[in-house]
Amino acid sequence: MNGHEGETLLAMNGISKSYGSVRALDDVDFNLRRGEVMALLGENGAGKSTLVKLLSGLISPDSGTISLRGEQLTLASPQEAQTAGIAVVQQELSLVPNLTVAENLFIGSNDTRGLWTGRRLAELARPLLDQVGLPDLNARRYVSSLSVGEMQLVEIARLLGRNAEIFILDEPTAALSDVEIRRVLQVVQNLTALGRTVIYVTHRLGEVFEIADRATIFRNGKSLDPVPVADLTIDTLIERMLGRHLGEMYPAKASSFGPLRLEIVGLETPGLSESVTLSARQGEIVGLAGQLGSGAPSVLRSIVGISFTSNGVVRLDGQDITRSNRQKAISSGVGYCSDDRKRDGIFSLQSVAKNFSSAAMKSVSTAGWLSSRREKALGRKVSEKFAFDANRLSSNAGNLSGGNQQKVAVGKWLSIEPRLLLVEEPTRGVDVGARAEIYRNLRSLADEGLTVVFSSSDLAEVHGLADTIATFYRGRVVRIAPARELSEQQMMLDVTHDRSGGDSRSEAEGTKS
Amino acid sequence: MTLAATSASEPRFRMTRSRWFNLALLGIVIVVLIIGGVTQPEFLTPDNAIAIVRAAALIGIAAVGMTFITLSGNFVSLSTQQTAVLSAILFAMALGAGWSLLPSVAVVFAAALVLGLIQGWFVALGLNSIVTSLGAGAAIFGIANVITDNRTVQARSDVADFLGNSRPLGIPIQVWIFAGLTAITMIVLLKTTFGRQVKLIGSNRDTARASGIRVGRVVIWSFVIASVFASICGILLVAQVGQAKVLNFEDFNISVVAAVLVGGTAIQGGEGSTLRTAIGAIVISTLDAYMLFAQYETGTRLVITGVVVGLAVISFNWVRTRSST
Repeated sequence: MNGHEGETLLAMNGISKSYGSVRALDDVDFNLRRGEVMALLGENGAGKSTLVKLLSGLISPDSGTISLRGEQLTLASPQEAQTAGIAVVQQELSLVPNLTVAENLFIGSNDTRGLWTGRRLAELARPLLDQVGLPDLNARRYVSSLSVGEMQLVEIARLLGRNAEIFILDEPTAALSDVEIRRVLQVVQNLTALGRTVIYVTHRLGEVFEIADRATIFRNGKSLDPVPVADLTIDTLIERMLGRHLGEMYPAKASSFGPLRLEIVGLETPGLSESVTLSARQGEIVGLAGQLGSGAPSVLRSIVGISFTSNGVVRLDGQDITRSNRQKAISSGVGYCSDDRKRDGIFSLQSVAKNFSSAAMKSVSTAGWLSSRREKALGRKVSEKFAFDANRLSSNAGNLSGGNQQKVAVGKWLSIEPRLLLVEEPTRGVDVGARAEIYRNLRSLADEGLTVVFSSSDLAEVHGLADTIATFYRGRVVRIAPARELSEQQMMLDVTHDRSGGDSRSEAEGTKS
Repeated sequence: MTLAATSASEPRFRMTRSRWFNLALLGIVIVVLIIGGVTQPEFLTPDNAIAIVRAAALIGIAAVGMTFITLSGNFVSLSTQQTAVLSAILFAMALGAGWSLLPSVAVVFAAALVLGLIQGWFVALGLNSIVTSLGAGAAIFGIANVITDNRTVQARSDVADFLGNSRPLGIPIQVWIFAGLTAITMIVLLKTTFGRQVKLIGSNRDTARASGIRVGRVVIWSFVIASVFASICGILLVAQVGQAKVLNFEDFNISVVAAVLVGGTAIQGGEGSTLRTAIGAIVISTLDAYMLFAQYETGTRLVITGVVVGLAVISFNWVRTRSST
């Protein structure tokens, strides 16, 4: 498939898009040839998903032009994108679980001939399902009974049935098992054989070499010129993806640590395929690096009881806190911040001061009576420790910028005077300036003796912030090492597990158990 | 010091927003009263005025209790009316059996507490509050039917008569109780950890849970409060009229829900106050009293009430979204 030289199907020139002060795409060029698989690569926040949103008509660019088959067009709504023949297979699938496969395939179909009996629909569905490698799937099964991989394929079949020409697959393999990944990759290749064009967004570099013809790499909102995959090696690819990072972004690492604070021994929990053993000392920042589905956040979740600990022991300063619930975790000084602050990190419609005190109601009250004096004092203390503007304590948290919201979501845990702070994706959706501040804050808290364990899919972040790094791939720890002994390249290999890593994995599995 | 000055000025700004809303609501009341006074000279006679405020007080007490459910993010309870009916019947039976006031009240409160606990517990387990209270309401109404055998329960008692018909300082006692309960619940919401937790779980239940708040417990107590406040309405009615029957409190659920919504408590939870609900209750019952007095037909009355609730909810939402941008 390499060397396939089709005509230019889609061209985007000089595209820029800003969210507030954050420049998500900065003068980006992108082009796509008919019949190719174009890989879209880059770290989180590099601009890939913004580009996908533009193409699917969910957002409009601030400037720049898009042309399809040589004609300029606007994609002002998802309907327009659909009419133009652009189809997006999202990570969250848009199938209706309590309809059958066949019914899902023909939702919204304009065909009004005859009766849509279940049998007839199933017959019509057959060729589409065959094309996506599901010849054995009963089209009258309910979608809710399918595996995630099968759903992905059914979604692709649905878009095929709508005569979509450009398929955008957004990390289609992120949540899939090995066998299912093989099937999806096979189908992607079939799509090009059927004359379709594919934009393939992924974090798994191995897949790029397997199926992509060319790759466009995004870095900090800018695009690099597309490169034929045949001209790349895994090392040159990683180099291009990482680029040069801001040196002053990350604070200096710890020079010494206190005694052992957190011990995790033989932890087993949903999301992990192998037990995890991990420890963290006082004043240490431990980073768990891994892509979606790596299991890194599962470790944090099981400590605070969000996911069940089926086996293993968790000790905090020698005290057994295995299978704590939220209240118990908080009272033993463990704060936990999820990766979705809007969902369960902040109270958008409440003031920052109330957000700060929400986890520490006891410390601002006596026998159930709130003390506004103590609440204010707490607000000022937390603001000071987490570099939050105390003048904004009475603003509603939802009115703050993403960076400040994140400071509220993380900072509120200082109100419980934590010994251990667990954070998932500490800077997701946060602009560069606030990022650096959050890193500094976490570091200065660690310098005062706090232990921080965070999980992140942003490798530069883990490498820059953590003292000790654990890399995760598909539910197991690949490696635990001090940050200074681990290169970003090696981390990238660990968490994406390209071909060479794939070989060593089977060895590792053989020796580990 | 400048720091303190700026932070002090911000709550003042937020107060104007809710004050603006309260003033608008009171404006509606005044407009209705003026229209009533002009078009129906009898409307503003002392006797009629007292009847209006008595009705407003009963709706208000139940609505103030229900505000806890709404604030906690559980929409509304549709068993308020039935709880009030059953409470009235139990109270009348207790008095009729010769019990004195305090034990009679205690029995009614205990029953209301149990009803609230059960409903709150189901909702805390994850059932929808509307469905739960609708079912509970039907069951409670059934019980009321069974124990009265559809007959009116008579209950004459001097103490109860004081509770129903006295007018300290010329104002009906129901109004004093309404005002007192509104004040107490305001203090609970603003000054206690429980009140804070009610609002927090209403703002974002997941964040509340993540912050270690025992969401289920708070939900259960919200239902208990609503249920006990509804039972107070039952007690007051019996004390006033000396009898109870299953057909009391007709359309009470709708009026109470309307009062909460007109008061501007966000139906999604998290924002609102019992003071606003109290004002909402006054608006709804003044309007209702006027329409009854002017002999509007039932259908017309319902339409107008519906429109007022709708307008209040829309304008409240407008005020809220505008201020948050």
